[in-house]
Amino acid sequence: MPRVYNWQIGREMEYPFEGARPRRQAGAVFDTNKCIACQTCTMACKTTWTSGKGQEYMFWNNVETKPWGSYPLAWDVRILDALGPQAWKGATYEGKTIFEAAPTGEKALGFLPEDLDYAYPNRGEDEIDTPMSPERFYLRLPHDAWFFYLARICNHCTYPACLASCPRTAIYKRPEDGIVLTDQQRCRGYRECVKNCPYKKVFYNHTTRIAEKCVLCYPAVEQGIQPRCMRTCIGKIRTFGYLNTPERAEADNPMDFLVHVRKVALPLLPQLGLEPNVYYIPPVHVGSRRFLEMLFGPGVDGAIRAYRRAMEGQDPELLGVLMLNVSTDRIIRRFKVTDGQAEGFDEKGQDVVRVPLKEPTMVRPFHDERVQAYRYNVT
Amino acid sequence: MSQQERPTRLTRRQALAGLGAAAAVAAPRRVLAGPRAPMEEPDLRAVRVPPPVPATDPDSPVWARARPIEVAVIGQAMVLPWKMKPSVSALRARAVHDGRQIAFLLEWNDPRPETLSIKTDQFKDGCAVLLAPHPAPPLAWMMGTSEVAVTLVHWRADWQRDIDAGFQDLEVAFPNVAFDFYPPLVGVKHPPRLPAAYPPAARKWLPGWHVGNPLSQPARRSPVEKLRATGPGTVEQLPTQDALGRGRWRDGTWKVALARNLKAGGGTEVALAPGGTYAVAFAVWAGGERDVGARKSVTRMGRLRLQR
Repeated sequence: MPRVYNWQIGREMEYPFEGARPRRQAGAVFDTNKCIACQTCTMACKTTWTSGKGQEYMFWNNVETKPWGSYPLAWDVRILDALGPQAWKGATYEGKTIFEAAPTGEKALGFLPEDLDYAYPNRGEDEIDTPMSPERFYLRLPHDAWFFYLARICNHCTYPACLASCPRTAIYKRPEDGIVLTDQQRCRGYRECVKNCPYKKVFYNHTTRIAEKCVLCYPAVEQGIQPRCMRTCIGKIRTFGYLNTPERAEADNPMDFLVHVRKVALPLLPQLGLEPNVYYIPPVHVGSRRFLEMLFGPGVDGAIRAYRRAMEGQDPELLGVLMLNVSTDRIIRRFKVTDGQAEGFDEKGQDVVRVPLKEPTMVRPFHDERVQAYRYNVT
Repeated sequence: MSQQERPTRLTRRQALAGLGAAAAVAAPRRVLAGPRAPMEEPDLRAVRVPPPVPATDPDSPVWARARPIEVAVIGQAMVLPWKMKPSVSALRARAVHDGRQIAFLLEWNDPRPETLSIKTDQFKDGCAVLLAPHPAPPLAWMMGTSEVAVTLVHWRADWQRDIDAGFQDLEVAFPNVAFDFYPPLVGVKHPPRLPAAYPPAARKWLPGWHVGNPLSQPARRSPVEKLRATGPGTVEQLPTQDALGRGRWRDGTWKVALARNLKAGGGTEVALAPGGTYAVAFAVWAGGERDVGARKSVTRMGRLRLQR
């Protein structure tokens, strides 16, 4: 089997195809600290792409509550359990990826969910990790009892298991932007992709009897517009852009800055070996670092430190990038933070948005003499 | 070579290793009650009969005129994903032709018919006949090679049910399904039945159908598709779809008739002629065992002779 380099696990690994990185890779950063699970992203995607017959149970975008939530049911627990011990030595993963752990006669380690597994998209919603008891819990950081929201879409992986598993190469990764797509003409409904995508973000359409998945709103992306789930995010948790490999990181590219420069955003389950391209800023309040390290790998401590510094006003650059989140529909390729404001530039270098790092506060009088009225909201 | 351009190619070494592995783990067991042990590779004679051939009648008395052969079925361990243990251990085959069409009758044991492929974890039963010029190189056995295109005649239990009972949509698998509205169908009586309820302009909400994927077509004329392949993972429908067939499950046994024209209908279809000899192999999919695609039980490649 060919060997490819996966920088997220700090080593080479086996993959059924030779490595072929796209000319540029679309990706995203989700700030879990800001997500309120309003599901606006979920519904934006649902109404745009999966409102047809046969797609009822499909959520290309879903938001689940961790630790108990999962859609489809136990997608993460089952693959992690099957994979066995997942040891890291520093930034190098020493366990097996799903390709290296493939059973004889299979392309990867995987499982096919049963139909009922898709029936509980909100299972575990808002449930804390452990039962409350009055003598143990105080309001402090990190929280003794905790949960957080994990928004999930297809990761448009550098080494997609869906693509590797398809016996007829009906799934392909676009060289121009790294978006992974299912060829709707070529698919014959074998469901090897559904089985082997560990994130379970390829779905079987009951009516057309073939596989479908997130298309990262490529018609919009091709025009420099962010995907629907990103630009409708009311919590402004999402950064969308193009990500370079670490050695080619550009400090003024928002994605590179978050992932490679500040290392505040981490991949989801990097130990599986797919090099996913959606990154997460881990939640700062979660009491279990081990749980976060299981989900996001060994960079959790550093990411949380970097995030805290920004929130305490010690890193205006990082704060600036995060303030640019969902501030414009345009894809931001470059950013600059000066004089208390962050600027975003598009592909052509045009200034498309400016946001203040701190919104100015206006205080109006409680009693307005001019209109002879009292205000309840004075700021 | 980029990931999407890389074709699946089978080397000779892989093929031999696969053959060995399949033979090692899948020693045939006897299932069909016959007087003799199943033959290792098919040696089938298509008897000439007066027209028409029983293309859609697995119970026709015409089949009695053809001598059945019982062939050992093994797992598939040449192309990933493998199916090491075959779902059935043997199948019975016979063939007749009338100078215009050839028909095959395949029989195998299956405790439960699986005729739906609606749910994520639901797979249908099926069978197929592979035809290639004779003599064919050993590698052609697994879906042909880049030099030797093979023709496949593939019967699908789910398509037959679509024809018999109307398109089997999600209401069949989920009788209590509830929904408010499927855009852009306004004023359509629910549930919207395919294909009638979906005018052409609405079909983009069903992408597979919209782009013409044969798997996604709700209106079917035959449960049998005619395919070509030039190697693993290359299967695609031939330009003419004139194959016929019908399956019947009773008392734990599938009996399936499949037929195609002797003349090639275009593309790279393998043409057949009375008096000719061709390479042949059979495959069976058991939906209950989650067989699909390369996860299939196969016979070795053998010989098909058409009576003059």
